[in-house]
Amino acid sequence: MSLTIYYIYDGSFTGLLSALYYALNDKEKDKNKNIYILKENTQITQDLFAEYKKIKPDEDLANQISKKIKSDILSNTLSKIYYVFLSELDGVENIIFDYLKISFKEGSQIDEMLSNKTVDKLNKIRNKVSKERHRMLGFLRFKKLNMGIYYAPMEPDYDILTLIAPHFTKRLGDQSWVIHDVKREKCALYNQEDLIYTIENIPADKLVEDKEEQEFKNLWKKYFDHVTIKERKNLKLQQQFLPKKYWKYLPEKE
Amino acid sequence: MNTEEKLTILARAAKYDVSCSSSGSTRSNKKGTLGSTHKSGICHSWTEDGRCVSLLKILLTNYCIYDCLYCENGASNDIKRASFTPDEIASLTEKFYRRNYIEGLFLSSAIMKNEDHTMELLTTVVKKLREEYAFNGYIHMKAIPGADQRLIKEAGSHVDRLSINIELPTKRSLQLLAPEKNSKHIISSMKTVSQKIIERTKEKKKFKKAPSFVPAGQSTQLIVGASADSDHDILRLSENLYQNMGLKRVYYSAFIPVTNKHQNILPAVNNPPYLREHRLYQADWLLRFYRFTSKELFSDTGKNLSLDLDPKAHFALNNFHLFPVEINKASKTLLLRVPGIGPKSTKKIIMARKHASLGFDDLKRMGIVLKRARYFITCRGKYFGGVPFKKDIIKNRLIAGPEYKQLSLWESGIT
Repeated sequence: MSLTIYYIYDGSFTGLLSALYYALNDKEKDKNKNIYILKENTQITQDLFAEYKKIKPDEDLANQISKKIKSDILSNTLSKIYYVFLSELDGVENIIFDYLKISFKEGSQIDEMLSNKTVDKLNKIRNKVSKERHRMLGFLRFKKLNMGIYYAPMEPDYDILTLIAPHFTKRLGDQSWVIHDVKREKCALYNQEDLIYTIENIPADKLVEDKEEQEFKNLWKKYFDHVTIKERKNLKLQQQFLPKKYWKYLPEKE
Repeated sequence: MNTEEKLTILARAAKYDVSCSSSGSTRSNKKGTLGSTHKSGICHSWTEDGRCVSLLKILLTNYCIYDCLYCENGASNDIKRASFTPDEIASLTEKFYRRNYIEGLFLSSAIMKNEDHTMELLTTVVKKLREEYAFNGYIHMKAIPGADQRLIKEAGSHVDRLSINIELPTKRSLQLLAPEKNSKHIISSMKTVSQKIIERTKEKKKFKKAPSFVPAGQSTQLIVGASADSDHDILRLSENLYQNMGLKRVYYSAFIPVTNKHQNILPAVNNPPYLREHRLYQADWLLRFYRFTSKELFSDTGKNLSLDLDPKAHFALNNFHLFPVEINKASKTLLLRVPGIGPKSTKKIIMARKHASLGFDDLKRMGIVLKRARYFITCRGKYFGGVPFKKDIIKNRLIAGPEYKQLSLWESGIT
């Protein structure tokens, strides 16, 4: 009977890379081992004969494996894996693991192997995350608070905060802002100099709108209503591009 | 009049301008400043008619000295009029931008007083935004044809995209419907812009830091269905503009009658020709991304595109001898001519077939849309059309839904 081993990581990307480091090394030594990667606190049916190993996030190991991925596969592979990781979908760790096993064998060819099932699975998840990221660059709405900073709440399907925040440091570089992932209770803060990520929540009494806010929200709504060509109304088409799940924070849809 | 009223009037007046694209420009920005552009463009919202909102699209004024018959702003129309000051527009753009409502500004105008005066005001707005507001977002400006070349060039050095609307595809229709517009002026203004773009692109190759000029290129718009011009006239013009003037985009806008004063000259339009507009966009796409020539699109079909079939399906049926093509062997040019297979799918197929011979299921999994393509391809020699490879049968299948076609097949006794 072949041995089954589970590597359990803490849910961070560094943790996942550390687990991948062990898992890939292990697999190289013994091809017959069944190896899986699991996120902490995932519900599973315990396998009596399997081995469970808890992996601590280790920056050194994570760096080593990152370098190896970049040099032996493709320069964009790591970012691809990061996107897939941020999907937070069940079992995504093992798709990444399978993908890396193939990739280390095939090298830079991997991006072209579109009819391969694992490559296809990974690409599809990556594209979903990437699509939401791109959408959110447009759908995010900032409002000015009376303390002078701009505040943008969002509830994306995927954990895209770190993918969108850098865009706004370039775009809104001369204003201080907060992007708040309300669902995951974390924030990106920018003070016109540095960008930092925190898991502190913003107290409600700080979220008082500036008095000019209502005026511009209204102007925007008026603008939005008046550019519709009534003769061509097509609500289905609108929703296809602007799904309802994003309406909550759009002033024009309030 | 307050800002809200002005905005209502001048946004409404600008809504028939189709373009809302914010792509094609990468304006680098310095740390700690306002604004940047995104190569692929970003949509910020969608209106109830399903159009993307990317830019604050407004007119500077709708007071007009012209009286074009197809235009709501024509001098003799009894409508509410308003004008923004350059400051008002610049400030509104900035305030919207800071809230991430928009990607930038799309600024157009009716002709107030004269062409130069209007162009001067438009240029003031963009200069203000770039210089006083240090705004690096996207700006698309409608230049006024016939305005002083110096003004057009100055505007061009501040904006990302310039466009000059041709509106009507032939001189004859222009004279009939927009008598104050001069086709010579339109063309010469467009030439000024395209020459300057070419000049600057060359300079930029030599000195990277040469200032840019209209980095996202020039575009124009044509009205469809207000005049007797055929699709053939329209697409030949577009082809010419792409090839000889280096235009980035030609937009087509189905004519919606805005007044009933000119019933004797304008066609009665109960339903604006949206399907025709759609077919023109499809054909335009083929010109730009598939290397079709306008001649190929019209081989033996008269002067207008088929409304039943999209232009590519039409081409395939007219050139039936080229098909079916073998997915694992066909050249790129030929793959691009299969209905339903576009540049992206072509690229995917060419990459994937290097590593494995592709079957029908592989194509499906790769996200290649096979609804129409299946009738025109084979995978490893096998045909998946599900019906005999006969032109009439496939034509029927493409026009009606598959269920309907099954029925018609039955009735016509083909087995």
